[in-house]
Amino acid sequence: MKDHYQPFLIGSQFRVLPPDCPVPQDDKINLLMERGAFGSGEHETTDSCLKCLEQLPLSGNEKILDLGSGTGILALAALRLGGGHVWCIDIDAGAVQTCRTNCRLNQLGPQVDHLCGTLDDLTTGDFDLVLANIYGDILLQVAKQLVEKTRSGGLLLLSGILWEYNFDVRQTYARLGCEVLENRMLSEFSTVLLKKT
Amino acid sequence: MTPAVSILLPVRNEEQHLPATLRSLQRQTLGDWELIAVDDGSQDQTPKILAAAAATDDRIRLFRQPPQGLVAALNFGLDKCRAAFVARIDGDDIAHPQRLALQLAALQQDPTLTLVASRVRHFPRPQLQGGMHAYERWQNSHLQHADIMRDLYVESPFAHPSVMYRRQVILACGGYRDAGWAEDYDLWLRLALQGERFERLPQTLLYWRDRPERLTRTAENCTLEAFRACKAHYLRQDVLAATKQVTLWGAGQEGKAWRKALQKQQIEVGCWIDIDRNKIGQTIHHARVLSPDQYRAKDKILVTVGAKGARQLIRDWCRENRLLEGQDFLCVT
Repeated sequence: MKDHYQPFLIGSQFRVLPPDCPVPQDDKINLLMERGAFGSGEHETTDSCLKCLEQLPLSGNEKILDLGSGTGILALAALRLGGGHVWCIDIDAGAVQTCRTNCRLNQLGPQVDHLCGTLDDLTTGDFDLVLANIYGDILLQVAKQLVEKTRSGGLLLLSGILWEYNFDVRQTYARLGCEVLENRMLSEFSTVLLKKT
Repeated sequence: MTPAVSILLPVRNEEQHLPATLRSLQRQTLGDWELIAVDDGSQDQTPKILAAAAATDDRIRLFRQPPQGLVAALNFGLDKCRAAFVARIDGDDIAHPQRLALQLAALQQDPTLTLVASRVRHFPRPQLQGGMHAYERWQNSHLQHADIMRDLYVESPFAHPSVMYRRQVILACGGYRDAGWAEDYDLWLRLALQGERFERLPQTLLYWRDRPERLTRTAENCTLEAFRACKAHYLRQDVLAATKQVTLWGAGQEGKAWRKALQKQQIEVGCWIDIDRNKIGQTIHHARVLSPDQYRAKDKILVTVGAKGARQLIRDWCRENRLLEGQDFLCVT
């Protein structure tokens, strides 16, 4: 079932709107999404992630991983910002289906691979950019795998990290050879941008 | 200059998590604080971590002593605190950046408040056991003084590292005591006994680290038996002052354990109330087990039933029978 929702702005450059909504012609990047509803925390952390993503130089050749892709908003945004190809993974089959639909709605289907599962199921690696907007405890659990999937010099944009996990996440990824480039503390969540050295 | 808040941190062997705790304090929106770090005989890198932090942040004051235990470290640290308001924290917890500011504002705005806690959230949560989830929910549901007082003998109402209090009141009350049970619950009950007022802020300002070796699980003074002894000790001076006989609601294991704890306070069980048909009519330790309908005695009732939902049903029954909570009956489990 499609959710009916009002278009909203997110990040500094994006507007999310339902598929049947007239698309405004302005300087915003429009993302058509079947489901626009986020929980309040999820909205905050997605917003933060997008703002961080907007600052990254994307050339069109990047190999991007979106772990816990959900609706696919980060993957879509990364592609709209000029990213190359995204591998979306989510453990939830419903989320994968929604993500697939959203990619198609935005005519970005060919640039996205979908996988229902975990990092264990992902056969490719050497990602230039890893996006993971998932809980901090999961980020800690998958830290080693996630860093291994990233090429040297690649970036990891981690969000959805509750305050209490922020330090542990930064410390864990730093010990795995990552350098913290940015640490955004939000009202309840945090976003961390790292570079694998 | 006297800081606005002293943060009291007794610590031993916390090298793994202490850096995160310190960072969370240094991120506070209220910067006018001092940290009184009492290293209680650590054998790991804890003293080095604290010394390094103190070298770059003159708000951090480090004191080292041979291992003397938590109560001694708390009292030693409390004596070193210079501010009128003291916030507690442990060496593995994380404070929300607004914790000090919000708690200080609450205490400053209401001079009748002695202690302000906050909601807490355990972490990490994947391995968090059901009991701790329930305790967290229970604790977080009690915000106002009256709610806290109503359930004061059910459980310890505050996570120790989540509180900020008025230093002078705590000192006047005797500080921390080693009485064979949890030193924090002992303090809350002593404060309550002398009529101090409490409040919990609705914000989650303390992230409470859960791990297998946590003192709450391992310390001898945190056993259920120690908690019962503590409650009985203070009930004797509070609701049960001059009481020689009570009714216990709940004739199961918990009720029987309560009978023992009360006996040490020279309080006998006159009769039991239970809804279990197998128990009704029995005599347990010279006292009859009655159904609620059979009950006619006028003794004070201690409710020792902690099963989910049961406490509220018993409360409803007591109210229907015009019994006043805190006076005629009290939930203690």
